[in-house]
Parts: sequence; C-alpha cells; structure tokens
Amino acid sequence: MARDRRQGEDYVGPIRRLLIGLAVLCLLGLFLVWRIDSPRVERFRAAVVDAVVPNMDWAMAPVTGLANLVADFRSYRHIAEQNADLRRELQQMRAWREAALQLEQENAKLLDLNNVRLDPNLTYITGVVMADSGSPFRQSVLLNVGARDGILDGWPTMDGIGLVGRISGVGQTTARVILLTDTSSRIPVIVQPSGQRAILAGDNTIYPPIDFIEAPDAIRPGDRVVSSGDGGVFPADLLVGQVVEDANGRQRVRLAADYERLEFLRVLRSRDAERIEDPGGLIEPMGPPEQVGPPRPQPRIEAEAGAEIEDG
Amino acid sequence: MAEAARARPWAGRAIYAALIAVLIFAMLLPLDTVPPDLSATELLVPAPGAGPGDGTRMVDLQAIEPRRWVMPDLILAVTVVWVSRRPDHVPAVVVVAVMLLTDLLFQRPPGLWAALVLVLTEMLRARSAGMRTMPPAVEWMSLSFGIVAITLAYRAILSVLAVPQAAFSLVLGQLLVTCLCLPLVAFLAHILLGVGRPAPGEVDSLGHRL
Repeated sequence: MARDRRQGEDYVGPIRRLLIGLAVLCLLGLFLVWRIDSPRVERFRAAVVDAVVPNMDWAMAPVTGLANLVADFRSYRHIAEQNADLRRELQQMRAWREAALQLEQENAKLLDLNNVRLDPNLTYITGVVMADSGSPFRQSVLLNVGARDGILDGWPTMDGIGLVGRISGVGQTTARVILLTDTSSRIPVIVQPSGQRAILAGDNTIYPPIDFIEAPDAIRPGDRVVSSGDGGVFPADLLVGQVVEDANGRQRVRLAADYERLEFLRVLRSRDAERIEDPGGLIEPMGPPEQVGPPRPQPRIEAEAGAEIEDG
Repeated sequence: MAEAARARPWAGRAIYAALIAVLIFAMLLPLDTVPPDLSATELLVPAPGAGPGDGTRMVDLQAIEPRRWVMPDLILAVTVVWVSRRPDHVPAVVVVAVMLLTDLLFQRPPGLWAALVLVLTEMLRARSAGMRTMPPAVEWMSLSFGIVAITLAYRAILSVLAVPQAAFSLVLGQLLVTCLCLPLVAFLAHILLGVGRPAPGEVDSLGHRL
C-alpha cells in the first residue's frame, strides 16, 4: 500500500535524496566555515538578526511589558517582608550617605586642588533591550542601537550600577551584548582591596567564577570586583560585583548589575587607550639652550559631536 | 479548521510556519536574562552591614533566584511531531529555513544543528508511513531516540571542535523535558489543530494517497 503512493514519484526520489544530501553538506560546510573564520559568519548573523528582530519589536515591547507587569503583581505577596528589609537597609544607607557626602566634598576639593580632568572619553549611548538569546545555553541580549549610532564591537555595557557585558556583533540598527554570564565571556578584573588580577569567566550561571588568581587566599567574600584595563580591551574601574564563595569553596562573583531586569543599558564609548610604545628619544643639546623645561602646552580643541550624547 | 488542514497541504504548511513563528517570538522575549541553574547552591556571602572580608556561610537572601527548570526545545518537538504525523505539511526546505534561522537568532553555531535536524526529519519522513500503524508509545520512543541521538551527536561534534558549551546537566535536563513533552505536543496538535495521523485511504488534493 505504501508502495502504491510512490509509484509516480520514482523519478523524484533519487533527485530529492541528492538535494537533501547537498543541503546537509552545505549546512555542515557553513558550520565549518564558522569554526574557521568566525568573524565573517558572525557578521552575517548580525545582519540576519538586524533584518529579522526589529520587525517583531512592535509586538515584543507590549508583551514584555505585560509579562513584567504580571511578575510585579506576583511580587506584591512579599511586600510586607520586603518593606521590613528595605527599612533596615535604609537605616544603614543613611549612615553611608552621610559618609559619602563628606567624601564627595573632600574628593571634589582635592580634585580641584590638583586640577584633575576626569576622562572625557567615557561618554555613553543608552539602548533598550529588545530580545534575549532565546536559548537557555547562551546569555546575550539585543539592543536597539547599532552601527547607525556608532556602536563598535568590544565596547563595554553597563546598567545603572554595574558592568553587564560587552558588545559582540553589530548590525545596522541592533547590537548584541554578550553578558558576563555567557560561556564565551572572559573579562580581566581586579579584586579590591587586595589588588589581585584575575579573569572573570562566564559559565552560564548567574554567579560567574573568577579564574587565574595568583593568591586565592588574599581574596575574601565581600571583596569588590572591578574591571581592569589589562590588555586594553576594557576601560578600568567599572564595577563588576562582589566576591562570594560557593559550597565547593570556588570563588565566584555576585554581579552588581540587576540581571533580572535588563531594560535599559548604557554602551560606553571606550576608545583605545594611548600606549607608550617606544622608550623615548635621546635628549641631546640642540641649538642654544633657551628652551629648558617642558614645551608650552598646545591649546586642545575637543570636538564632541552629537546632541544625544551625554557626558558620563 | 481541522478539515481545511486535511484537505490542502498549503493550509497545513501555513499552520506549521505560524506556530514556529510564534515559538521563536516567545523565546526571543527578553524575560529570561538569568541563566537557569538546576542545582540550588549555598553561597558564602558577607553578612549585611559587615565590612568586606568577614563572610558567613548563609543562603544569600538578596540573591537572584535562578529558575530551577529548563524550557523544552519546543521548536524541535513540534517539528518532529509534525514530520512523523503529517510529513506533507513540513517540506524539507521549510525545515532547513526554520532551523538555520533559529541557529542564527539563538546564537548557536550556524548550520550544525540545522543539518542534524534535517537528517532526523528525513529519516522520520521515510518512516512516517510505517509509523501510522505503530502504537503511540512506540512512536514516542522512536521520536525520543532520534532527539537523543542528534543531541549527543551535536554535543560530540562541538566538543571535538572545542566550541565552548553549557553544562551537560542543563543539556540533559532540556533533553528530558523535550522528550517528555512530545506526547503533549502530539495531543494538542491533534485536538487544537487537527494534525493527526492520516486516516487509511485519505487522499490529498491531487488524489494521491497519503
């Protein structure tokens, strides 16, 4: 009976099988190309995402808003105990606030005395989270800013408080942020106050472990973790989180950013740090020694373009 | 709707495509930005109000509570159920397109998963005529076996090529729930969308037997 149906398709069968085999080979070929020359295929991926996901945005934003509303409503159950917690925390924060205000005044005074210019290069662009990775095995989000807004690969991304991830994959109107929790995320960090340098390596859990610590004993739970400028990839001193230890004694980081609510993210424009490459030229007497001392400072003109860019 | 889906393969194809589009949309919603964690861990954290350095072993109250479960891979489940029940509604071209698109959107290595799913669906398609007379349990077993096989092959190939991967426990968890949700998907497809096994003697619009 099953044969009857195939009678008319006998000549189609082999061609179909050939085409299927060809398709499988093409797909495997694409995979191998990706493995060998990943940037090219990733650019293609970014272009596809850029073409597909913004089309869904009109529906995604309301559905996401609705889901968050339901989640908020559910959290009303805990409101009493949350209130007690918040009161207690507020008490502590008041004390800290006093300290912070005094420190701020002192800091401002000292900066003024020293005539320090804070790094003007750290401006940022704020983007809205459109979509996540859609898979429990990859941790990334898609922002609604892209190459059109001048976003470049590798720029760090923060929420209001802490580091969230870095840009990897830029389309014309979208950019993907690989979160610190993703298995492919590696960030150089410094643990304060001991000053230990380490690598924060994501492993698809909300508490990414710290790797390559020189002296693990010097690090205690509660220590602050900030990004280090090592390798020139990231600007230094962005808050990452706090050290915690899991049941196996492995040192992990509790991230400062609120990963449960990633809505608006700041993409920091990080420019390449200037490097000192050569050991410096030989200083020899040239002409009459009338110019002793450093050269006269040149007037510098900083061109900051764009009305939507605020100073960070 | 059920009768329409039976009569014209194009309507059935449209239903499949629409279902997949809805699933992709739901998975891309930025609601789960915290990775799921199947094991509850106790953390050594500083007591509130204490300075840095003096930690106590306690359950972290302010911590984010990750989900303790994984979503089944519904796109795969729907595809294998559809292919084994109504292969004419899921042409190979559509399988390739859907799987390649999800590879690209969901940050998987592009191509490999699509190729494996295509191989699986072609094997199921070849057997779909025989599956019609199988008891549902046997059908479910063979679908599950196929899913387990391609998942393990996927994992093996990725490890050989040293691609960073998620924890195996998480993959196993997803494999388990995907296999468990197959009967449910088949049942719902039958009840709501009329995608069941073709009855004996049923013909398509051109008069061919299904």
